[in-house]
Amino acid sequence: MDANALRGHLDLILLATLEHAPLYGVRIIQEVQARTEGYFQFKEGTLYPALHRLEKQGLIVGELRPSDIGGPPRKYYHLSQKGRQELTRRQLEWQAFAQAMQAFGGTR
Amino acid sequence: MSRELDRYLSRATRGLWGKAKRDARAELASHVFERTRALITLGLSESEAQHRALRELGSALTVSSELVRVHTAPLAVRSAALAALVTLAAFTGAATLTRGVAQVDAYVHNDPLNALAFLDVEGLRDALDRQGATLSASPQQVTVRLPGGETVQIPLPGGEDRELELIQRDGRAFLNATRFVYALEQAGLPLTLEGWHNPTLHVGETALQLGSKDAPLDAYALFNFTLSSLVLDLEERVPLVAQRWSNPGARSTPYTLKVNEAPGTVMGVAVAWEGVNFKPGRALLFTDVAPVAADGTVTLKLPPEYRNVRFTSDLNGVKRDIADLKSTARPASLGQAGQPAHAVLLKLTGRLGFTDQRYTLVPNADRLPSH
Repeated sequence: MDANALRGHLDLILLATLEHAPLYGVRIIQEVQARTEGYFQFKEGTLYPALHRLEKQGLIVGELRPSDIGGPPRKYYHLSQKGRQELTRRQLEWQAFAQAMQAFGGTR
Repeated sequence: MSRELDRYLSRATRGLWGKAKRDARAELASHVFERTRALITLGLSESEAQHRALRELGSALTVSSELVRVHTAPLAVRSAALAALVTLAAFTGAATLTRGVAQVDAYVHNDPLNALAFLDVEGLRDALDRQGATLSASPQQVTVRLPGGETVQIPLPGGEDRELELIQRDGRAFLNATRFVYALEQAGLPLTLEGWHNPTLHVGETALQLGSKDAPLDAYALFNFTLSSLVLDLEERVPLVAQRWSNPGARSTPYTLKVNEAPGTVMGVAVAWEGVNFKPGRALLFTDVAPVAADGTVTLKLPPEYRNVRFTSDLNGVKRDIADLKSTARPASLGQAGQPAHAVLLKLTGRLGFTDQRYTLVPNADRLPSH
């Protein structure tokens, strides 16, 4: 996956990944890879700055919880109300874009 | 904790401070722990597993520069995004040029939204080359290798953000000057900025003149950038707003002060400010920088409504103003009749980096009538 294409959609991907349950970094990466069948392979170090950015924007909220495998506490992120609205907005935007692009996709 | 992990975490969180640093470090440590455990269950030894977990995280320098950008740099980027058309002010007697220093052409991007200063990448490459350093560029990043062996990477974002970092003009590539200095700083290099017109940047033993006769640069953005440590010293997380980029109409109230400093010395000022459109709980730190003129005066500009200003060398006055702005529910009358704004006057040393003192507080300056 081209890094620039990923960057353009990273926020939508992260917000959508957190839509149903709070997750921490490693689990977010696994979830993204599982949901896209490995299509999105991002450098993991870029995940945390992106999460921190979304947190600063008030779209997600981080919360420390103890690790169940005896390690350091994990930081779980969940969507805020504002994040949920932003996710819906971006999903609608993406759907409209994808629909418009169908005309050029050669599948008709 | 292994030395490899400790070193990685230190490098990956370099440039952050306080809680942001502790939290980011703990989060990355937790990530490495989780991934290491998972890789051990796949049959790797503990040290192999940890090594691989760190490799997956990617370059510590990239992580730190991205984290710092999130936690501190957006302030600069945001004020740049609000930026007004830049007219380069013509100050005299301020240049302190070093002989024999390699020159780099500058380009000032006059887009009202992105009034940023840029450096010619080829010129920078030649100048560094003459100083025994090298510069290489790829679509993803610019890499500088200094004579001492230090390597500095400047990641280049894609999408719309890219134009803030690297632009093409007349077939030449230009790199954001502040970003360049910022990356050198992140790498922990000793940096000093000298002069106002086409300032000289000393990076250890390396000296570069930023800007040239035909493609000049004034040091406004760079000296303003040195003021970012004020936010640390105030212990208040407030966005910095530079006067030059603060209001599109370029209105402001000038204050001319007689200071006991040599012509060319760069002075700065900072006041708490509520911004253009009132937003409850918002406080900004309004700053301006300028060199001392030949007659020993310096003119610094404050927000247009600031007619009642008390100059002080005590940061507490500014802290109190910030606290007042943060707690007020209605537009404040700070800087107007009855409620003077506290302005700190600073002498900028030109030193950058996290440990060096970047400024000294200047007590008592005589104010001359200027408005």
